[in-house]
Amino acid sequence: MRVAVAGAGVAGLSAALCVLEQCGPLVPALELAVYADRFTPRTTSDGAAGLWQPYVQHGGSARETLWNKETFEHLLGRVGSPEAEDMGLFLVSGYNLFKQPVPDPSWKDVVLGFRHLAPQELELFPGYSYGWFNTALMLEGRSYLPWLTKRLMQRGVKFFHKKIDSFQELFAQGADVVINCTGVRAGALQPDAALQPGRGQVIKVRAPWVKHFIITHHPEAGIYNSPYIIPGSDVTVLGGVNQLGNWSEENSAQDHRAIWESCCRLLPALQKAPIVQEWSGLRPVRPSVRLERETIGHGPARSEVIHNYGHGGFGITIHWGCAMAVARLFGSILQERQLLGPLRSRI
Amino acid sequence: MAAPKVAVVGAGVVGLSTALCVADAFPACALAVLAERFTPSTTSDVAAGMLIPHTAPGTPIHVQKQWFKETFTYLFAISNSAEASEAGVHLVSGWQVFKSTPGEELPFWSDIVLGFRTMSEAELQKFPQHRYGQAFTTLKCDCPPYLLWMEKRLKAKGVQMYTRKVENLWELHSEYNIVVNCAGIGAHQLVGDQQLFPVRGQVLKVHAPWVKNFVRDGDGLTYIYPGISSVTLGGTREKESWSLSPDPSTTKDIFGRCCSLEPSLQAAQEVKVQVGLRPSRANVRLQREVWSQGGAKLLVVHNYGHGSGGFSMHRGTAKEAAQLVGECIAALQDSSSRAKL
Repeated sequence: MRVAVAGAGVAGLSAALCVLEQCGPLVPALELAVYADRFTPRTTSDGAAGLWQPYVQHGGSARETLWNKETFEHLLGRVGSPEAEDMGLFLVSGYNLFKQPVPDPSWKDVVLGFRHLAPQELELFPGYSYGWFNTALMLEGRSYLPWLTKRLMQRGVKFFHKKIDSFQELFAQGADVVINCTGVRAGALQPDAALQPGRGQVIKVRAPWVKHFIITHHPEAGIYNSPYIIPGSDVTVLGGVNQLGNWSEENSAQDHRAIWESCCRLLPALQKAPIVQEWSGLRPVRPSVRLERETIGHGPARSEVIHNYGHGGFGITIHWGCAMAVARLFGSILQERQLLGPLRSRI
Repeated sequence: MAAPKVAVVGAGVVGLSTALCVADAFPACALAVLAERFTPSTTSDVAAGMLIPHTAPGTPIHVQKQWFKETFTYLFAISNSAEASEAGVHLVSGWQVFKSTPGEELPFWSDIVLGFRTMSEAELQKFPQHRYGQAFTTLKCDCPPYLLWMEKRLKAKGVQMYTRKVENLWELHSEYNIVVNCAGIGAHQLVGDQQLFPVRGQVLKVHAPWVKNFVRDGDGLTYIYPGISSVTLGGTREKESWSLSPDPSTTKDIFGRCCSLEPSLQAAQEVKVQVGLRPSRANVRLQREVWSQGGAKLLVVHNYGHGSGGFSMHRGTAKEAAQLVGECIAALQDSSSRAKL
């Protein structure tokens, strides 16, 4: 059974690992290969700060809310392990700021210590009259992707630096199942009117005195279109813009100014922080995540695609729940092809 | 009369903050800071600089609370300003965890720090050996940055700084009218205060930049405090120990205790070991005296003995010491005008 994973961001690599871990022991002849035109550190997942936090509005479907929760709990279980530092995984606390009261988010009981901000704390953030404090997790792509890659290579997964132009190309090479984790460029493999880029730009600075994330929310602006500050293990990430439909991966001077000025207003000491890097990336925005099977062709020649893309600005937040869902779908493919006995309950 | 000449002895957090308060309150004074050691070699440089007070037995709680509140408010404003990174002052959140539920559940400072509350069950799961905990956000003053920032501000106000070991305060009587004694543990020898005793603390400063939250065991012995360029791991509280040499087996012990609270520390690099002697006393000595010999006089203000609470109380006690300096100045002017009659 040969599986081709298209895409080597957090979605592709975690789906590959989950399929291997869940189904590998059951199917001895399972061969996995990853195909991508960009690998770490050049994927969208590498540019993201890596903060686990779903969108604050109750927009996501019930299954997405569950996948976010599963991801958090999976990571929380590993944050005390010796591997955490290699994974780029650590706890971080911080603030979500609003200009008026908002309902509590669906994930308030998933994160640790969720509470509303006291008036004294709001003094820190003039212009914001309401907010939350909680402890969440950071999972830094530039550590996590290499960590996943290493684990996959140890299990014999092959990696191909190649731009894939069609699913057919992979089937022709002998793949039985394609796991499509091509993110924002999934439309090139199969048109998807629901998928569009949500262009983001970030400024990475050296500001090691910043120990909290600060995420603002402006109701008119939309998610990630107002300033945020996220402290990483090496750099602090300043954002945010979220420009729907903008395919440019070039840094914009105008966006730079807007991000810089708004973040320095939030934290005046940032004015002195040296800029280390600037980066633009395209969030794979979709009204909902596309995570489903698609059978292509008929009869004995039929092939399977498992789609796993459209994670918007919450790819890291949702990745493990999705990876497990992909593994379950893969398990049902195996069962149908009678390569497997009755589905084990652990899948 | 000529501008009063004031010398502050000691250049740790207490000496420098006291000098700043005196300079701000009495700009007409000729002010100097004299110290055997400046940053990075003071006791303050060893401390993590966390604003988590200890309860000193000999000072009324309401006074300690007032000092802590003044200090917290002062530093909070700095942390919120453009100078925060230069001053080394930043907010940090975390947990204080207890193996058994403490007697007093609400410490006197719980309404001064931010967001103080009991930890949830889910949060406690991260600390399997502990049964109760408190979560809050407080401030940290990193040294050397905080001391350097105070030195810079003092120099901008024309305050002179001299590296000088003062053997006896009286030796200053011909050069200065008023001496402020912020010698910390040095006061044991300088003024022969037998009530002052060292509580030795050994700490490790490690590179672990992924640690963003503090963790402190309620017993006060084990703590992890993330700073700007290093994480401070502690510690020890050895009464009456004067040894400034790092002890290797203590280092291993501290590291082991901290790793059991925060396992990811196993990956920490570049371990630096430091030792400081907390200048401990039943209460901070904040009082003024008149020393005279022959016809000569020296007005002395004491501000030392902060024990574990140097950072937590420094601004509050500095302001009070400055008030005492004000009383000394008034007394000088008084005797000067009387002398003219």
